[in-house]
Amino acid sequence: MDIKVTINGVKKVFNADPGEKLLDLLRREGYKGAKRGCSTGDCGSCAVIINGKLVNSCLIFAGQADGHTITTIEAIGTVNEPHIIQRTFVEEGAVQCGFCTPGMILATKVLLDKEKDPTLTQIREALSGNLCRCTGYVKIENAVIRSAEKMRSE
Amino acid sequence: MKVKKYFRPRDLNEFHRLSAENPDHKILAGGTYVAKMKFPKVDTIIDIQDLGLKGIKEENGDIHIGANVTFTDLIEAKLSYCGGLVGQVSSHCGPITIRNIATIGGNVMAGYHWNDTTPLLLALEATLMFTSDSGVKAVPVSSFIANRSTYTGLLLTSIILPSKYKDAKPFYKRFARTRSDIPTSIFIVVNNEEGDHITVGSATVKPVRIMYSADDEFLKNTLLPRLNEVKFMDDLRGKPEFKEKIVISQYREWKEK
Repeated sequence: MDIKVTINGVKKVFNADPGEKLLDLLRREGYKGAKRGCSTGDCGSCAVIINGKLVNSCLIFAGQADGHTITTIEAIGTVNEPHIIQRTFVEEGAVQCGFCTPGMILATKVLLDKEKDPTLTQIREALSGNLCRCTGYVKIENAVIRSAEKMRSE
Repeated sequence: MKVKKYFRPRDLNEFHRLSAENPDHKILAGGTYVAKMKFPKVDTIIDIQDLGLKGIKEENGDIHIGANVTFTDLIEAKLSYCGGLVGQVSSHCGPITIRNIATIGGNVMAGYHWNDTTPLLLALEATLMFTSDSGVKAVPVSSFIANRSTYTGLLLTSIILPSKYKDAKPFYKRFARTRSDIPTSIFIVVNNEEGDHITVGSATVKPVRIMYSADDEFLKNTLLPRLNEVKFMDDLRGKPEFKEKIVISQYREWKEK
């Protein structure tokens, strides 16, 4: 079946099996920033943004995404020119193994697109679907606060 | 589940036709349940996102919620109905990544009675609107809870919250390990012209709704015996006796207020 999406600003048509999950489709098509963690919607490593909302791509059938707009981590900065959120995560030591980081960055992006000066409660709520087993969250929360400060001053 | 066919019908007629032609189908709302459970017999998915079941509207004081409304939609709607109880309860239905896709209709139909949704709907005496190729059926949520299997295969299109609780001042307490975890116990009180109604739920099959009476022995003679109907499970969130104690403390907190 054909899946027509706008992904990272580009209109594309993908072919998917009827039972294929969006995560599998994305990874097969080269969007490997979305990671397979739990496959049950608990960890958020597979998170992508669909129509402005953060969702777990492991819980979505590819067919559900047909006609929608998807943003993956590949659209948020590059290796040579990382996004301000990505740079700040590195500076704040909010990255260890890095497996959860794409989901964390996307969750932060959704939050900061909406709230320029989020409270700690709002930050925790925004990151509630993303688990990190390395850093213990304090540095991640600090990175979100610092990212917001930098983005406000830009 | 080996899915061989995936459909996204554009209207109810197409939905009914596809349902009839594919008896081993599963209805897909948000996907948080269907996508991770194993249904060995299911070979067809019918995705209902294009059926127009997304609206939230007020009609003569009643609130009509489309079955495909997500928990995030319910939070963002900021309904003043019953003191904002619907948004408040919805904010506990999983983390944000789940609330962004999980729908209230999918949650009810999947049998997620261990979530906060069913106790909420029971507390508010909600009506579930089903459709089939033979017509529309209005079902009180209490009847649905009592005979769930009767409604298998029907399409839940909307949920109606009655106007009589529009200005009610609710009391809502939940006890859980984290803000979005499955609740160990839920305690909701809403009032109408008859008085106060207590609803108790948990990680269990069936919440109960009890009419409160200002009787010194209410706890001993009414609430505690009725808690047996909840059938608290012995699980990682605690033993049934522990959960019962939590409900008693929630009841006392409400009484003090």
